[in-house]
Amino acid sequence: MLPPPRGLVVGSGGGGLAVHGRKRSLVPFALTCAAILFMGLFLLIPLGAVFSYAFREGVRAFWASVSDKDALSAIRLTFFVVCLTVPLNVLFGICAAWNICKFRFRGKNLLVTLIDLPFTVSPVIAGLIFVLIFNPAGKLGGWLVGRDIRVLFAVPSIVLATAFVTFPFVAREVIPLMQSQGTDDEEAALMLGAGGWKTFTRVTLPNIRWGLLYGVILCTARAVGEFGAVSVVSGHIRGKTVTMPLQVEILYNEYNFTAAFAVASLLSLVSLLTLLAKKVTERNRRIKKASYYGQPKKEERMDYVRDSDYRRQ
Amino acid sequence: MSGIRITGVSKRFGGLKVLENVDLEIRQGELLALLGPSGSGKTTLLRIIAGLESPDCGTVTLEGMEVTDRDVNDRNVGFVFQHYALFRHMTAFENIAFGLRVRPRKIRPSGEQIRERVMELLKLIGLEQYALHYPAQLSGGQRQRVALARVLAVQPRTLLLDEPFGALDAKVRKELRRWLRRLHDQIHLTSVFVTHDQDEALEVADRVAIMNEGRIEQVGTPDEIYHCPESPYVLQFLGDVNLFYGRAGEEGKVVVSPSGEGAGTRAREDGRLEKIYVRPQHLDVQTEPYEDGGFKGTITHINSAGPYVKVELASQWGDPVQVYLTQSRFSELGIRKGMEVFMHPRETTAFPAGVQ
Repeated sequence: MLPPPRGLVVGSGGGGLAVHGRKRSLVPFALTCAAILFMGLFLLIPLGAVFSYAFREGVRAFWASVSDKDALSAIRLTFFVVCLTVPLNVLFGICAAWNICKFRFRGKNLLVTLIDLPFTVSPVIAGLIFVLIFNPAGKLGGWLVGRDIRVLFAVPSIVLATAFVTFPFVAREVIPLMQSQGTDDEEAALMLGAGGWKTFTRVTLPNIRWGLLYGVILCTARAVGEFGAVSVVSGHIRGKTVTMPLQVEILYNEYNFTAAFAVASLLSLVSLLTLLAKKVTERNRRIKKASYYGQPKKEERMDYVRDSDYRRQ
Repeated sequence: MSGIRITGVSKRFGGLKVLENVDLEIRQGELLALLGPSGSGKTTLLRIIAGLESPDCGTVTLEGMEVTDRDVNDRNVGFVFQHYALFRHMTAFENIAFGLRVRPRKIRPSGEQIRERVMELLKLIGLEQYALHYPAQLSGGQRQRVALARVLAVQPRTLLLDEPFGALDAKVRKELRRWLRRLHDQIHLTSVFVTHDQDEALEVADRVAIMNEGRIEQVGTPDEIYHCPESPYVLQFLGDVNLFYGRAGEEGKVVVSPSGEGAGTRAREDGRLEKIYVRPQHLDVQTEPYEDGGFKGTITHINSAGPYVKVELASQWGDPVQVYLTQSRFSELGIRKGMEVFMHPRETTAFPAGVQ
């Protein structure tokens, strides 16, 4: 006996699937709507509000707020802190990643876990740790005060607290990248006679540059916006130890909303620029990766295997 | 003078013994294949020669000089990685020039000299027109050739290749290995390459060292190891083989399989149990019984695509037997699936049972 015609079975099956598919197509639509609604409510409206408040009393008032002496000092301090902490964390991140990815040693997992610590500790606690360490009543703090070095309630502690909080960003980006690339490239460079430093600058660094840049962007964004830890250690001395987020808080507490939102809008602008830079880097990274690991377009014929080539000598 | 001499090298990774007291001598200018299954320690041995791993004990001598404690970049050894390890942010040209560019200023060739040398090498590998391509724009075979040229640029005394064709598809692999053989004949570098593909080793190498569980089983020319294997392991590794068990029976015949009949091969005089190996192409088949021994089997499968016709049979004792027939012999016999035929080994290799 002949088996039942195949087409019929497939046909009815296909029909069923289509109905099923139509039902399911509502789900992504609903989810998309929910996501957009959520984004609008919690992100776009507040962001719009920041800018509209900042300019509520006109461009002149905005300009007066951001060019105020204290505001300028806050901007300068924030910029200074970023310029110190980001390179510090880049250095640390690369060292840690290099160490973790290229060598075998005991306690490696512990190190990886420790790198994540600042993510899990509340920034306020991070700040308190520094207060405890550099407290003039304590040993180290007392010793430093004795030598007239102010750490707490001064710029050094702000830098330290920011560095602590932004510690993992570069390392977290670079470690997985280095791990996925393995050690072949470095070994190849060494075998070709390159020393350790040349191997690092000419092979390792170019290989991780996009991941590194991505980490730097995230690290910068966080360093600019850090509030909790810095608030604990800064001492809020106007014009001296007040960073931009702290300046916003001070102005807000003085009911000076326009000025508060003016400075806040600058911070938001930094975030938006970061987002843009992040997007560009991400795309660049993806393209690089795809073009290296992707299939070559077509396998070239080995037309170079010509006997004449070998008879030459 | 020997190109590379390895004496008493052992290596452990944690509790795992990877190499066990390995001795190996590689002659100057020779192309030697390290052949073995994955986990046999062949890549580790290659990396120890290169200096990328250090042995727990034993010594490595390159051209009469002991280098066991020397740094990687002080051995004058070229290493080609399985996955090429090309620098992806450099063009083919820059990849090849790398080894020259990173030299200390004193011995670094001038820009013009570097350019000349690189173009010469690009010509050698037939990729002159690809000088400015990035690795991502090259095919697998082209990448492997650039990797080789990059190594040759620094003029090493020894060339080491780790599974050089492992990541390529079958056709390119075959072309590239012939190319490597011809290249070797042209430049005469002492070379070692690691492979798990016995065809590749037998076709390309001057000599082959077969590795098993951290030891070297046998070293010899492809001819020697194929025709005179010293252990069942080597024999089995170098191609398909049928296994029979036997004992010296009456009239000096070997009894094959537990309950079998004489198969017409010579047996040990003392009547000890032996493993008898017969390659599929060394089994004769005919439809009539052999006068002198032989055994029966039923054909279970025939695959006639390829240079040989591969016939699978169930022997009279129920064990599977593989026979390769030439196409002409196959059509002469006119056999079909399900037919009962008689087999007789032309060539056998026997080892006492218990020897691995």
